[in-house]
Amino acid sequence: MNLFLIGSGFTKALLPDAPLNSDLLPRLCENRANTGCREVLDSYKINDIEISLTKLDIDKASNRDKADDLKSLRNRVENELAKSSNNYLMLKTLYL
Amino acid sequence: MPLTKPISSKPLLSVIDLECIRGDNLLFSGLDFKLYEGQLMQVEGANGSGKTSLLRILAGLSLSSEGQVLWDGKDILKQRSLYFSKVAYLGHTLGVKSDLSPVENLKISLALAGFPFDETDVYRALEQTGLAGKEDVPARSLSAGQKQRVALARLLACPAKLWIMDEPFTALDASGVSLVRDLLETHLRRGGLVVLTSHQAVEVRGDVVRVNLSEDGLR
Repeated sequence: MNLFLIGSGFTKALLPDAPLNSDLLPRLCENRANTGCREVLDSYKINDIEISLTKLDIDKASNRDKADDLKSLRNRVENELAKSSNNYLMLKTLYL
Repeated sequence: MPLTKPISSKPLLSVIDLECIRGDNLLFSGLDFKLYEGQLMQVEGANGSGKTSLLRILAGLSLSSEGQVLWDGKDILKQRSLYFSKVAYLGHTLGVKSDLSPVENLKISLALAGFPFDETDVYRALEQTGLAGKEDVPARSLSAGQKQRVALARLLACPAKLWIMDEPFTALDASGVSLVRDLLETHLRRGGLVVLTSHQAVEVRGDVVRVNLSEDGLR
């Protein structure tokens, strides 16, 4: 069976307790120091992870001298993001 | 003064027997044209005649049902990376992210397109489009016309040879229309190519050719 999930509400449909994009970065930083997410939040002071990472990508493209460090920072954020998804239970039943 | 001969004898953009079907509707078929360096093509036609569909096919964003689009003699579908590095597309939706500043919008567009850029060039492009002093404010605070200018600055900042523009005069005031005209003329003088749609007659000095999808679209 092919399952396609399209449209807004995607995250909440699967992971009802997970934060939305606009709250995700501060939630990932809660009770954690020296994380990539904390560094990004402190740098850009924007809660929305999509916008923050876009700004990080812009800086990465603009500052060739710092490109490797910024790439490493982005990888850290992605790993922290991936690990955080384990904290939320996925619904067994999907309501359409 | 209109050019009587193309700068180059070899067409850079060629459209051969192009057909476009959307849903059950045949929008156009049997469409042929060639575009040379320094030429602008204005695509005309009634609403629903397929102008935007044609532009999206030329930009490599949609597929035609029949026919071919060639860039420098080769099918664009067989050289997508190279072709995308030659094309800048300005559609109905401007692609200007409201959470980012004009400078950031230009930088991310250039980075995503794989164009190396210089900070100075980005600021210069924004200045040329009348956005000096607005470079670092969030785009959401700009007017519709100013957002259009950000999109135009993106064209200036990237080295694309072919500009594909869907109604580029929309939302612009008189000075904005004059600005677009100047940008087009400069691009053509440098050997660039332009394909655009406009409900207004395009008064651009240069080699302007027209195709009317309602009449020449050959349905």
